[in-house]
Amino acid sequence: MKLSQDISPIVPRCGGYPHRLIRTCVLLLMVGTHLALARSAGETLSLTIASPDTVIRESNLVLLVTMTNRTTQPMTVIKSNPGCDFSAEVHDADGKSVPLTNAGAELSRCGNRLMPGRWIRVTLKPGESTDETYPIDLYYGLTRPGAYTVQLSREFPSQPNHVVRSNEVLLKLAE
Amino acid sequence: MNISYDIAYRNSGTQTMGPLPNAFCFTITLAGLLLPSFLPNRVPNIDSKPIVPVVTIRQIHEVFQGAAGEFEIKIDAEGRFSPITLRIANDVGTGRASFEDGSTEKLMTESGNVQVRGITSSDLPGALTLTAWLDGAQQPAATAFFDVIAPAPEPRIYFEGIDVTGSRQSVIVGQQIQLTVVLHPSLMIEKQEWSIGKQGDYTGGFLHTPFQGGPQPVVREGSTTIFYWVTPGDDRVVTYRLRLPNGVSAKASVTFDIDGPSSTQVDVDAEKVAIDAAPGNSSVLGLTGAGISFNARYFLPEGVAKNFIWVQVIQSDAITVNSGGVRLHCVPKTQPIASFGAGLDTTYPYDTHNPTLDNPRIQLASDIQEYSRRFHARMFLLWSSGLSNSIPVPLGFVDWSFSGDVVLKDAKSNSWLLKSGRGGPDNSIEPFTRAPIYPFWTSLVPYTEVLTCN
Repeated sequence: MKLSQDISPIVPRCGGYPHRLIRTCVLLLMVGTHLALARSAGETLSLTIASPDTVIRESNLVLLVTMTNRTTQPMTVIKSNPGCDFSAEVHDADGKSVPLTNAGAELSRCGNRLMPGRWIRVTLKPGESTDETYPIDLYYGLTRPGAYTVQLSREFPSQPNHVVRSNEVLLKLAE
Repeated sequence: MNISYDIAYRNSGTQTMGPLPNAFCFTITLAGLLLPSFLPNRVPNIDSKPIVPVVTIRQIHEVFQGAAGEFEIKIDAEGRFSPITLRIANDVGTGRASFEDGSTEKLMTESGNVQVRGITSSDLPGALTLTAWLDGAQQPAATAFFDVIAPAPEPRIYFEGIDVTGSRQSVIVGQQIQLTVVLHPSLMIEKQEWSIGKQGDYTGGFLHTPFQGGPQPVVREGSTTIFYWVTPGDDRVVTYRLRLPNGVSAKASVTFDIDGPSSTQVDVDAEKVAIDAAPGNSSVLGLTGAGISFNARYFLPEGVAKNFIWVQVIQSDAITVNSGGVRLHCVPKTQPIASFGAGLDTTYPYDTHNPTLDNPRIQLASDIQEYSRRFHARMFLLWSSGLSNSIPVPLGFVDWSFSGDVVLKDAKSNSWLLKSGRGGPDNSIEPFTRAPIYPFWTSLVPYTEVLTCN
């Protein structure tokens, strides 16, 4: 028998009042990359992704996502399963969408979670950041060599229609 | 045991040389080592020209370091001929040899045996040559390749390309230690192995995929070993030992002083078990507030970066539900399927921040009348030097658990009554166990989607 039920892993509140979640996700690559911050003026949420200058040789690539509170209010973020917290759009060099691997698809079925498992509640003051890892190879099994563009997004339960998107990062993967 | 192999033939350029006959193959024997080699360059004797002798060189006795070996020089000629010049040379490698008088050149006017004294043992086979030269020739008339054999094997340990035999090395925990011994390739070795010290002070690696993880064994046989110190400490001696088929043995050692985090402590705070309201008129059983917190501290050597690698392994997670009078025993789905819902909690690492948190929350569905959850986990703390090729090392762990029993009060409002509940470290006085034990798992508990019930 299977039990399933919706559960909201993120409950952002500030002093009891729901507020707009505004945050920045900065996607870093763990392989000695540098950040190139770029924010769009006027946006309450900025997303900046830096791509590496060099070719990536790691076999299990993990992306580092930095989330920054760009609002003027404290913000609560829950880190649970990265495959549930984030969605990724991955395209190959021909622009074709790269599907999730079987394991990745299995690990990303998050719609009916009764238990979020890992549950790290972080309260960010305005301007504060916290980072999180996203094991992209676990979900997409990117073949080497190859070049891929990756964009991450995250939905916030308090505003289900508000999806925060990162800009695209180009991954050049060596064999 | 004998080794036979063909060698490159140095052609004089004036003759046509075919493949070497079998008689011209090297034979190297270990211990009592006989390494005869003779390569005659047969020069045709043309009547109209001066007499050109045929010279052959054959090694009779091996050349040992500090002792003399012997070569037989045969000069086959009819009539008078100019003296033959013998020369000892070394193209590459460490091997050095000379004639008995210390020179590397000697004149031969007739056949006979010559003594060659070994000065420095060879590290490359056949790198030393004894050549015979006719007067005015551009190429040798005969060449013998030979080695200077060390009287007993003298293994040398190399670490990062440097000979560290007998020295003391300062390293840090988790740093890759690759030790290599370079021996003469012709040396026949019966057994060679490394002794590294007390089990648990080192590891062969740390595997961490989502579906399996744990320490790896060290390969201690062979001329190279790779390992990582897990615990700090001084005067750790690593010894390489070899044994030859004739019973001769030799060893070499290097001493390590290992630095790393010390006096590690993790403070654990746990909130009470409670039923919390969640969006959508639902209720959640869990710990109040942010849940259980793990706050680590330790001392580090100067100039070393502080970091925290948390890894949580679920020991068991059992949920019992009463649905319409039917009692179901459930566990979270694991990949691959594991008993008691055990495995790596969600992802590796669990977190890299300090303190880290957890809260084993479970959403309460109003079509269920009773929930009971028993959750046991071990939170590991690891540290990484950040050096290239290094691995994280374990500092210790906290065993903790959560239990809660709730019954449905009102299905319409989805309100619940907490019958009992407890959350926190298993040992409230000393929650942290300082131990160099790596987390180990053979399945992943992703906590996605469904429970598996029976």
